[in-house]
Amino acid sequence: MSIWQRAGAEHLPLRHPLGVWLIQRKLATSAFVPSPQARLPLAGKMPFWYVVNFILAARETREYRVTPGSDFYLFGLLGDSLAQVGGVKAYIYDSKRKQRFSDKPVNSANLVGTASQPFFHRAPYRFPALSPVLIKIQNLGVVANAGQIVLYGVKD
Amino acid sequence: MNPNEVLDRVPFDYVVGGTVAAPLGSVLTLSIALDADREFEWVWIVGSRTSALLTVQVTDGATGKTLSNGPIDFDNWAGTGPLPFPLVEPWVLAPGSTLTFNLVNNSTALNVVQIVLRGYKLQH
Repeated sequence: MSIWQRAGAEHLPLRHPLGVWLIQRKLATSAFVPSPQARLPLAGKMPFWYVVNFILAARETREYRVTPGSDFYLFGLLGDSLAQVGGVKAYIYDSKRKQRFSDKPVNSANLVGTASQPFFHRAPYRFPALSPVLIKIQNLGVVANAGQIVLYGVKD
Repeated sequence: MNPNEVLDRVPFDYVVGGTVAAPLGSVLTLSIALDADREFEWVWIVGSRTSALLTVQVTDGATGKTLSNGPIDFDNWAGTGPLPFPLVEPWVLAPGSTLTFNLVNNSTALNVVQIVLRGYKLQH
């Protein structure tokens, strides 16, 4: 099979099926990454990383926000933290649609990947321009912690 | 571009590297000027560093826009050879474009860095 296979319809341009790019599980991941059709409207948009740097005292909870200047399509979350013991948990909230991304905060190990081992959403999620994205982060450890949560996607 | 046109893709890496000085907060600015002959379809980010205590911020020279709202921890931005970071939607850069990488050392040791933009040169 050619990796440049046609994406479903004859009139669509040739697209990469993303599964071929992934280095683990390859085509077996196709159900868990954006399909060529889902990515088609995003062609030509600029890759963008929204970075949230957090610094938390022991057991502290803080809320951070980023506000995209133009429509932002989220592909996935990346992150790290300095103190591995305890870790942090977080949840994300789309204030425009009043939509949480989880019913409870998610432990960071279950929420974010790294650039080497990312997790991508099956369907890119659109944050409208000027709609604040709230990220509430709680330090679970008994020592201070610092780190970063990164929203990766594309924007105009 | 004709959407049904079959492009000839030539695998290509743009590579840049250097050493970020030891003092905490040292800055190294690197840039890649793309060849003027063909468009570049940027698909993966690969990189190496001697310490993860390093941030990177990328600026597109054509528009002057940065690709992030702040410095990104290096390991949240670049994958490795066996585990590269895919952009998900490839970004096609015009011939002659320039990308600038602003690296900041957050450790107290020298940090040897290499950044590889992996993708394809497009030939119509």
